[in-house]
Amino acid sequence: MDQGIELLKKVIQVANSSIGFEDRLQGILDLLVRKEGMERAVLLSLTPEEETLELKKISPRDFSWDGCSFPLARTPVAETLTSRKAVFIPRLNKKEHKSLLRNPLFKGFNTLIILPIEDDNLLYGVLCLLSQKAIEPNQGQWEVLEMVARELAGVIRNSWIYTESKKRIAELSVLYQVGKVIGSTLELDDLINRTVAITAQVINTKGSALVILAKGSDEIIVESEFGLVPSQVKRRVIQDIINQKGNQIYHQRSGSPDEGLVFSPEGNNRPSPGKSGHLSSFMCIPLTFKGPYRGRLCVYEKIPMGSDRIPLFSEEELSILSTIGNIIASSLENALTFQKIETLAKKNEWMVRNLSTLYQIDSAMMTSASLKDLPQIILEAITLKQGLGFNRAILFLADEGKKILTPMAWSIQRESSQEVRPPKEEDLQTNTLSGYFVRQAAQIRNARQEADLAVNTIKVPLEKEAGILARTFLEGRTFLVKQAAEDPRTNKDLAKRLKLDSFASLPILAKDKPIGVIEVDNFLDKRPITQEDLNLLSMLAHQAGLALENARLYSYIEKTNEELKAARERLIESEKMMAIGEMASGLAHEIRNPLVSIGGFVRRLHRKFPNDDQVQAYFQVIINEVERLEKILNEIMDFSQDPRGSYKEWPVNHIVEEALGLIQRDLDETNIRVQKELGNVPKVFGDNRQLVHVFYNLFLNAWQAMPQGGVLTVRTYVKKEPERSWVACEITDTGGGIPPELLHNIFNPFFTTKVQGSGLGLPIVHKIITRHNGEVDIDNRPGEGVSFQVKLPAAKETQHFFPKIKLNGEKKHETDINR
Amino acid sequence: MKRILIADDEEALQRLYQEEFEEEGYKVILAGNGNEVLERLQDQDRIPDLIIMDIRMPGMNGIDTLRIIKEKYPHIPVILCSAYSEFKQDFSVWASDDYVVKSSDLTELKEAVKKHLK
Repeated sequence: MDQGIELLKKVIQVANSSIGFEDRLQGILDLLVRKEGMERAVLLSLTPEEETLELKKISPRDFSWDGCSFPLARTPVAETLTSRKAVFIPRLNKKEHKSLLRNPLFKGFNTLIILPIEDDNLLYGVLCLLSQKAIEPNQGQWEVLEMVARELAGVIRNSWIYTESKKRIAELSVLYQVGKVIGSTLELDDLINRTVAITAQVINTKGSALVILAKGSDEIIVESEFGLVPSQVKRRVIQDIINQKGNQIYHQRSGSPDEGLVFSPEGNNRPSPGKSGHLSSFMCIPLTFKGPYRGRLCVYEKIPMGSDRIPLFSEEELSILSTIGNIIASSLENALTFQKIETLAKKNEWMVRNLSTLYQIDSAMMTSASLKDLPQIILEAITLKQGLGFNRAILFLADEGKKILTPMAWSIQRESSQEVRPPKEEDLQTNTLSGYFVRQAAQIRNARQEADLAVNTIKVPLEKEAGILARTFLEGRTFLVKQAAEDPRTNKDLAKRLKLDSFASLPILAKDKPIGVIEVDNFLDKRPITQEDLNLLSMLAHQAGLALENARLYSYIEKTNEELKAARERLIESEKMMAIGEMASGLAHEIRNPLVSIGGFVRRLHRKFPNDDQVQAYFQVIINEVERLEKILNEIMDFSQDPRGSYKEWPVNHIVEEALGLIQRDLDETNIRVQKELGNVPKVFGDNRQLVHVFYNLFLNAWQAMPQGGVLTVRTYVKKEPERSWVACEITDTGGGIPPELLHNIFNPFFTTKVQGSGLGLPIVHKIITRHNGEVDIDNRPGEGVSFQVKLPAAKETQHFFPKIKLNGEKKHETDINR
Repeated sequence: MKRILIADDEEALQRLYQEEFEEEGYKVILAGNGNEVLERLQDQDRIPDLIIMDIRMPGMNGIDTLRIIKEKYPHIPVILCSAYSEFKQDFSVWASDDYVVKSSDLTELKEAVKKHLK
């Protein structure tokens, strides 16, 4: 068989054998050396950038290569690559092939054959065949060599395709695994832990790290690592995130440590071997999110496969890492959002629960207007399990006068089932469980009774030295004491008495002024008091302050209202009485005179006929009966007499104001504006009760005349008339006036135009004023309103006539008026 | 003989008073209202030693009359004698010297007169 065919047959066999691609190439080169009589066969392949050649295979294999790439410039090899034609150099000479011959691959050879390794599409490299002997291949040999070169190209191409598909499969498998992981959970912590683990695993590294920061701040939201990660890496990763670094591959070349990669800690701590110190390589990619996050995913140190040489990261691996990054970014973002929503939901739930508690408490407080119940409601809310759940709450109210805080109310948690601490081992061994519970319950009951006693008698002086409670009040701020026994600020005596451990005290403010203090503690179950507890408490304390203040105001208003009502009732009553009195006295006067005549003359007759026994007896009957009638009259008069005020000197303005006060509320409700023009007028002499009654009646009249509102003008002034001067008070309404045909009737008793009314108001006014030597004038302006003018003599003038009174009056009454 | 001026608008009462006080040994001058009282006081020869006066009278009433009497004749004691019992405690307001509620039994009035004429 032809030698050439024989070689080709062998080459094809090797090229299609089941051994590895590298071995096939080597085998083919070996065949060329062995069968074709070449002394050296060199396969140079183009680097991916197609700029340099590197040694792919050499035969015989004992050649040691320094790894440098092969220079292309101006050599026959470069010619071959550009022309894609075989080159035959029968004799290498130093002049022409200086650069080639300097290369150890070609050194010492005479003949060189260069063949391009190419298929229809691509140029993979060149095959150099070298010999010291001078050889000259014939036509057949050239053809064989070209076919072998083609075969080599085929092997290389196949190896490429194979590697490529292997890579694709690996990538797919990575993505599959990553996908499986990220699809497995929505829990953020779980997800990131799994992510770093699978990333390190699929890229085959010793460690991996993941960091996510919030956008716009350096707040770390997520950080997780897996396996070997140098301790100082985190700071660098965070720095890289902030600097928005892109993809990074780093390989540390031997002997030239990169500054950025020697993770020597800032404080110059000794780097622990393996953990910090030198990293041979790492890869990092940025994670991009739609939301307000930014992050970075890194892997460290590739795990060597078989050989001792630490493998380096390739671009492919970087692209896989990048793909992983893209996939996990969205899952992470989902998980972050999920977590955020969950946190929000939890917070909402918490807030809703608390708000609803507060609302319940609040509405309980608002519906109770009684000052008595309120503190207890607040305290029950604090100690109720469904409320704030404290073991004990005490409400102290301040007695500003005595300068002490005293407990006004307190509450100790009632329901005990949950307070029972889990039984200890020895309890279960020495006793039955039920016995244990009974003992526990009894213990708690006792503790509660003791506590009740302890609270009852507390008195805290309002001085700064008296401890936290006093300071809470004095400084108007909240205190939280963790260890009462050790805190120098606490009142040790009180702490001991209340068995205080940790407690809080809050001021109760009403209109920004402290009115009391709430103390809360968990003296039974020792649960620590949290800031959240305090927040809720302070809201409650605020509510409590408002409610207490409201209740106080309410009771004040209620009391004032009662008083006003009573005053008005008294007045109405006295008006009736006065009316009756007026009637009775009128009647009495009319009856008494004839009665006195009858009685008087009968007594005379009785004396004139002393001897006629029969007539004497008759006279005596008449005398007795007249006396009886007079007695009855006296009784009627006594009964009808209004409990009198006192005849003194009174400032008219004072009287007017007092009367106005009695009707002010009605005036306000009917939208009647009161215009007061009270002048500087002298005092008048009279009965204050009767005079107040006069003005009240006149105001009442005006109010009734203006049901739609209006203006009530009250003027006091000195009115000078030709004969004398008066203290005058003018009361003017805008109620449309009195119809002229009724005017002459208004001072007549029992005449009234009102649906409700005795008809005695104005007649009584007239009576009283007349009795005080005064006058009442009416200025009626139909369509406009009425003016009543009450004129009273000044006290001075009265005294001028009655010097005797001056003495009495000044001594006795001056002080009374000014009270 | 002491002179007493008695003012009351009831004629029956005038007569009763007159008879009773004359029996007691007084000289009695009568008046039906305030104006008449002031008129009687004009008579320099018959100035009364004491005045008994009702409050409610037609024309000038007792209070107004009292004011004028006290202004012009402050030395003459005045006893108000009225059917109104409610003024008894405040009679000094008008500066009268005494106040007696009218009664068919004139003992109280007679004692008051005696007291003020001492």
